[in-house]
Amino acid sequence: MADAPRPSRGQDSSRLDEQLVALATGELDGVEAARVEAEIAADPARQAELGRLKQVLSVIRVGAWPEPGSDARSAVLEAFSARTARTARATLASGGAAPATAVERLVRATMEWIEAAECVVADLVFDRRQQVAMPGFRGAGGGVSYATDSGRLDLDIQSPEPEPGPGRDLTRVRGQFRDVGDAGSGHASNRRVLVTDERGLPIADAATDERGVFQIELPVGRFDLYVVKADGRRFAVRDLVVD
Amino acid sequence: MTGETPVPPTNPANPHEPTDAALIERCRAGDEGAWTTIVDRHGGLVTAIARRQGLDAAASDDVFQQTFIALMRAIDSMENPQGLVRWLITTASRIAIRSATARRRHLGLTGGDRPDADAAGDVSESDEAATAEAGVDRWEAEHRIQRALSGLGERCRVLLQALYGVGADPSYDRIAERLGIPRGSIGPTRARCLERLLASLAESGEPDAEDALGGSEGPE
Repeated sequence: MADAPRPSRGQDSSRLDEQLVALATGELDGVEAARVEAEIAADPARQAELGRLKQVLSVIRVGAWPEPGSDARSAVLEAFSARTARTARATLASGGAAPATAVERLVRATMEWIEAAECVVADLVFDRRQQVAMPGFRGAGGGVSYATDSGRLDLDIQSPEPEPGPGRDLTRVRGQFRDVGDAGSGHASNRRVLVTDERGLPIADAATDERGVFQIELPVGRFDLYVVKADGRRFAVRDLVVD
Repeated sequence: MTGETPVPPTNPANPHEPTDAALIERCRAGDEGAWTTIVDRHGGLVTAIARRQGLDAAASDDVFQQTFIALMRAIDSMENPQGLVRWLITTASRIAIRSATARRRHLGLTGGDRPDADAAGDVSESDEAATAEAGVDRWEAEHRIQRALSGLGERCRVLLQALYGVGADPSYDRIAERLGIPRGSIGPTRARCLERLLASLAESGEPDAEDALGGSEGPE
């Protein structure tokens, strides 16, 4: 440290003792260092200050903490957001206080949409992914079918190719909805399809085409899926797992 | 509530900074902003603990996630919110030690002459707990200093890092040129920065780091 100026004791006793700084940083030569050490030997306050300086300098030498990866940070923030929304959902479902946050308002709006008409929960009748096929039922393409007395939904869940890049980890879910009942069966066109996540937040919205077909993309997770039937009732699929 | 110490809402050294205990209370009420503050305030500490166990960035991120998910699950039942940092250090250390042990085993490495490992490179749960506990005071002290450093202005932080940090440059001329300040102001500025840093540590009112770090080169 030959380039550093020789420090001198500050005139103002309230200021940090520059001799101690120089001693702590190793800027003093052997003679000077010995002189300062002897000077503070009988001064516990200055010895303590020297100790604190050395601690601080040792931490500066290590460098700042490493930052966690942005994906990891996002994951723990989203996990808490999901927890909060679940709590809000439970509170609202039990008739709790008025929603205070944007998330709570969105959850409430979604719940009101779902509850605006009778909701009929469909049964899982075919799941090729689990290698379970029930006699008498036909699965569509990739493999999951749900049914009620008045409707049937076939889903083809296609896992993504392991390619890098944004949006490449989404699973494509293709579905076909049919009305079933006394009036006969048929493709249900122009029906709204809504998917909510575990928090009750809508994360995908689509409409069926003339063949009752729709397509959405979902991340890994567990979802509820709703299709609005011709009579206004909701055909509901609970706990659809995308993995 | 009898016998409980009231939770100060802000850090005595920085009235604009809520205490961990106050943030925990807000998290319990579902405040996502409070959670973000906790994650950003202590995420570097957790990552550093993992890195010093020899884990790479990806494995350290796993430790980071596991630690904060564990915190999220424990947050409602945490009896001592003031002890959040110690809780995080202990939890992250255990997870990191377990992860490092698993990786050594996966690579077929043995424990060698490490006193905390058996012949297969494993660390028992009791050893793991003891190892995690042993470093808590030192990590807590270093974290306190890191936070005080981050509370300094950028000018101070950059100057102290240039003088004493990784790749420190002993030349005042080059530092002055690099920071765009007169050479003659480096010494006084340095003194003011260190003075503010020590004052901040003293005002924080938290346990003294002196014994914990012992004037050594920081946590291992």
